[in-house]
Amino acid sequence: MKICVCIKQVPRHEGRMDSVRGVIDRSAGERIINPHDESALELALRLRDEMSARLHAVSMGPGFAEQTLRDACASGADAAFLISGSEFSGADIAATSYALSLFTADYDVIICGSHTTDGGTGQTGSAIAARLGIPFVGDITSLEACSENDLTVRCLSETAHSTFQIQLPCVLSPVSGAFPLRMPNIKSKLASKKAEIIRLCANDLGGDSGRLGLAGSKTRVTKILTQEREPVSPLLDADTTACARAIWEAVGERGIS
Amino acid sequence: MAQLLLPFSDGYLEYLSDESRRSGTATHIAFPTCAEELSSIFNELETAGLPFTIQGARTGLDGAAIPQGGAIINCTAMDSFISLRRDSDGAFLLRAGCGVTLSALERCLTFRDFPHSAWDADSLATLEELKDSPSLFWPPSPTESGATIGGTVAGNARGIYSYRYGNVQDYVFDPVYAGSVLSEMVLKLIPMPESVWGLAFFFESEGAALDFAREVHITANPSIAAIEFLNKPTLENIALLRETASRLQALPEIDERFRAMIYTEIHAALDDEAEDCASLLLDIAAQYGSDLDSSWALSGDSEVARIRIIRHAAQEASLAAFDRVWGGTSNIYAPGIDISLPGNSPRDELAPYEQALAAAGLGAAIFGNPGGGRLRICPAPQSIAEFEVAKSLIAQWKEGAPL
Repeated sequence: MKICVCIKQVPRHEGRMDSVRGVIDRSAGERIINPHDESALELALRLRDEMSARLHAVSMGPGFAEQTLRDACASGADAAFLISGSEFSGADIAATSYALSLFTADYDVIICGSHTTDGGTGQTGSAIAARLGIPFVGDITSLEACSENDLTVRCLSETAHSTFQIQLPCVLSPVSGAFPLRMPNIKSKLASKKAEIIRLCANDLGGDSGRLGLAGSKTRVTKILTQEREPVSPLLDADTTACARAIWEAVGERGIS
Repeated sequence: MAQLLLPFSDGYLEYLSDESRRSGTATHIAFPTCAEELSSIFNELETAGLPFTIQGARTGLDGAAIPQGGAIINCTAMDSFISLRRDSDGAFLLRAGCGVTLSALERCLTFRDFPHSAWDADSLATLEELKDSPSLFWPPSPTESGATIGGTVAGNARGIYSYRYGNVQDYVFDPVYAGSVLSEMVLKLIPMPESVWGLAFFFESEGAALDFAREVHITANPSIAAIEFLNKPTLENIALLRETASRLQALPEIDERFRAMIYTEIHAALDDEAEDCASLLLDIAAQYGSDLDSSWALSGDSEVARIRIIRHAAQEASLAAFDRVWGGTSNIYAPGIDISLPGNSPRDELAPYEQALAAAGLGAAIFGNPGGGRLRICPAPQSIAEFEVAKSLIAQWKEGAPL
């Protein structure tokens, strides 16, 4: 069995926008794995361990996204691939899912996070499934059973818990936080620094290059508005009485009685 | 000016105690917001002939914030960021009120912004420079992030980074006093190192953990920023706290066979330096029998914070354990003492303390920086008799009685 987990590197905090191109400037500030992808990675690791499968991690992004793939290797991914190049830049969900569907076409299970903290469409997993013509199950809270042919997962909806049996190949997306990511140990962490991150360009993926990046995107950010607000949230840090007093005063200042 | 010195009432009861779990009495209380108000309060106190106790966030462990009658002056409302400048070397200098908490400071530095509506043009220009600079931090970092900078400086608190970055006084300039109170000061901010690693090593023997810490200390590797020890009772307290503290639940459970943990933090200018240091620590940990497969290793400041939190939880977990036994009991406070281990064998130097505790039938959470020669011992009395024994032991140790 071959499993692929799709992960993304995101800015730790609000990234600055490139107001000309309408995309996030990812070159500055601390960068981390998309927190919602951690659950996807852990689900992939558990499935890999259960099935003695091979787990590959893939990310699409600039060169420095390698670090996120190294972190995935430190947690236990067997190999890592970085889809990178100017032809992928500025991709929306249509272009992203197209590129990822080219890469993941041969995998038995593809796992994506619920959404990202920067783009936040929450559609990557389902869009890959649609392009590959395979089933998609989201909002997974537990892995109940697995075999060479199918998986049984438990999902959470607004009204109920549901259990699904899904034929392979398929795309899965867990609820964020449902599968807390295991902690790397020092040996795997150091080994990950020397792990080979395989870089792939548009030619390596094949397909129609006109459907990648900005050229292949169906949406454009035409205008960016900055929300005016206080630079720092007034998070109250004092003791209970002082906090209560501050809230009371803030409410009073706003004329709320 | 509105009345600043208020009569004490039941609404302020929490200000009679602090993290030491001691409790006192007061007749008045005040919450100044600036040095001018503070001076005015001092004038009132002098006229009334009232003694007073200065409070920050009441996170201290030695009862210094406990009022002994008279007035409480709580400075947590003196929490403004006043100005921002750069020194001749380009270092950022932040003037702040004594009531600013370490967590508020850290949050502002993380987001590279401060409440600045009252700042002058020079400060605003410097703020723009700060936004384009590498990440910054203020090295004095007591493990209690709710502490105020005033309390941190006044108490000369030693954080986990004192091992590498030195004394709190090296990062505080131009103090302004109102009466006897440090009302505002300038904090020197320094660049966050490029490469930050957090490593936790677990040992089935406490002695091996302390020997490991000593060995790491002896290497004097300049990339090592922190070496912190947590003994078995501390880990057990944290495991109990983990049940209700969601921020700890992202950490793996710690296997019960482990009797000690050493948390180390690496700060390096280059990734290669950090990796070399981590490799060195791995070799030493293996030499002292640490189970490397059970170790924890993360890099990047936000990731490392996930492990660092366990060291920061040591004191809180110890107090939570105390509260489970004694919560609400009057005249019983959480016993504890900071001990100095000036020699070069923390295992041998700690042994007499542990033997005395064992002879008295007392368990104790012990944590701190063995490499730097400072540990905190928090006995865990389960009865009044044990509390009295713990008090007596601590009194002996404070007087430097031979062990």
